[in-house]
Amino acid sequence: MNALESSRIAVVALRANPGRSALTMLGVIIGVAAVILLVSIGEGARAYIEKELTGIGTNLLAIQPGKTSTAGGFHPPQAGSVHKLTFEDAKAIKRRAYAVSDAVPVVLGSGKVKVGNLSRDTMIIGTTPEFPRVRNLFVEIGDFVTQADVDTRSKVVVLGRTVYRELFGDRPALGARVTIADAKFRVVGIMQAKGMTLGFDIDDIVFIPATAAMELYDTDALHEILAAAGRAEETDLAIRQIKDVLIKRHAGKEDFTIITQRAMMSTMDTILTILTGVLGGIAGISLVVGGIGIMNIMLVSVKERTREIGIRKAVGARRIDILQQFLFEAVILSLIGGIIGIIVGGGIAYSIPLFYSAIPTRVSLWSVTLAFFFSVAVGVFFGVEPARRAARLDPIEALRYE
Amino acid sequence: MPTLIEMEGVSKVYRTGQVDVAALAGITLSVETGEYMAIMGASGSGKSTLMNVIGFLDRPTDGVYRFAGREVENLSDDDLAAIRGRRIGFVFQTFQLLPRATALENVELPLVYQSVSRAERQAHATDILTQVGLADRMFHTPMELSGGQQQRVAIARALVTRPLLLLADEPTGNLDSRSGAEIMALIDRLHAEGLTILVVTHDAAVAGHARRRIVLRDGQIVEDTKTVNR
Repeated sequence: MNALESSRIAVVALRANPGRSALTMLGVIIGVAAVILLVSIGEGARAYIEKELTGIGTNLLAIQPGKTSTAGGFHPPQAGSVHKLTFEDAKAIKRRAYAVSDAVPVVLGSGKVKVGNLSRDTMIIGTTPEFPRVRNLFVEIGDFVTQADVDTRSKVVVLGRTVYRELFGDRPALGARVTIADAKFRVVGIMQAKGMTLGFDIDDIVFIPATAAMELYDTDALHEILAAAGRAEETDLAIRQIKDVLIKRHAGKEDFTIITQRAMMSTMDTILTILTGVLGGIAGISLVVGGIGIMNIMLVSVKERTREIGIRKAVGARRIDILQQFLFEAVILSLIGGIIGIIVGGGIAYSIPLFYSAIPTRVSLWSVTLAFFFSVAVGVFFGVEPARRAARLDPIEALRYE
Repeated sequence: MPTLIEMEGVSKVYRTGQVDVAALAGITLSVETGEYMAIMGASGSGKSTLMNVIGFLDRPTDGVYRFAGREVENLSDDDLAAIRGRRIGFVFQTFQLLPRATALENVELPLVYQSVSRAERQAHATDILTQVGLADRMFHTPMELSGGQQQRVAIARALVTRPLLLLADEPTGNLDSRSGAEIMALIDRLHAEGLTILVVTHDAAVAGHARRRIVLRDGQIVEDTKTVNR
């Protein structure tokens, strides 16, 4: 007997009990929909974070003092380490590593920024004019720190949006004097709002010339050098060149760490892949429960239809014919359940962002494919035992069964 | 006439608990092609077991069984199924029709398992149903048919594979006397057309239609009579 014939018989049998078939399918529908939905949330989170990381600036390399693992991840900038990165290091990289388009020194600190009787604790970044370009930031009003400011150690400051709003409200700030760590600074610019990135407010920062910051904190060490490769595909070359330059300058020692944007991304990616897997796994359990539902109903069905099996065997059905018939029933249940589940799960996943933009979702082809084949596999796995029972029945006893 | 069924010392022993029960105890029997034979006996005499063994629903425990000249031994379940499907037609007391299938679908059923195409199956089943007088009942389910009509569907199903042997187990047992008479007339006609027929019954009137009668008691043939002049 061919597969078409078996599926026809199976469909007829399933339609004879529409309510029961639908309820059995519901278990699979919920399972598959849950898999699609939860995986789409995991995938959405990954897409969101990838986008956010890309927003920080592509081709970005962070050179930090001290040798730590280069396997990615977030390393807190280390000040006061023995092997310092200096302003001159940044200049040398810019000059000698031709694959590097920008090398921006970063002096990091925090302090009170005061205007009149208002003050705010914020992050203070001492840097050079290239910083906004490297980090995809933009000045809204006025100018960023200029090269002249850096060269002359001018006490000028560019305010992040949040700082500006807190200290000035809506009042104009350009030219105003603010006090940073007991020194007076003149406001020359206000940054464009950038928003939160991974829970960190990029607008809650003030920028001053790197030289002024070094003077302010009385140090000649940088917290890091941000470098950008001229082109994404030259990132590896840029890393090699930076190493060459710095190792020569640091008496032959590799006493610094280069963190790539890619390494940061791959770390996040690993975390989120695990998260997605865990979510999918939990949802998969409900799919297995749905499969048990199929098995349960199929066992009942085999029992109920003992006589039918006897009749079929009496007129020449072989074991494989009976096995195929009941297996197809189980698989058709899980198959249709799987398809409906994909539609339901995908539909919910697509509509969630319409109502709650905070939850990003992304329905990926692989999760749909996986859920589909998993549901079919569930049908086969849980359908085999009832079908084998049916196929093994003795025709004489089956015909006598009341 | 060639011999269709040949049994030598066939026995069938069931094990129930600690005790072995011999349903058949050394049956030696020969049935020629075209014969019309009744198998009689009280309940528990082994007549149903004999029918099951002859019809390949069951295997003998011991003895030799030759069917259509071939010795049948060590057959797998699937081999038995194949012989049942192609060579034997069954008619049961309780009709044994699929309740949700139409008369036509019920008659088609044996051909489904012989991979006959749907169109061919339907043509053939329609043909047979017409022969048993049910041309206008083909799309009714068993519930919508009378007992006599149901049994005729069952006979049509038995005939659709052109079997060598028709096995009828109490074919009139669940029918009123008029329907029963109609069914026996149909079976008589099939015999007249040359089909070999075995009828299992405890009803002497039914057995009277046959040309030969064997009586079983305790799994053995105790009587074997031929009535020539009917």
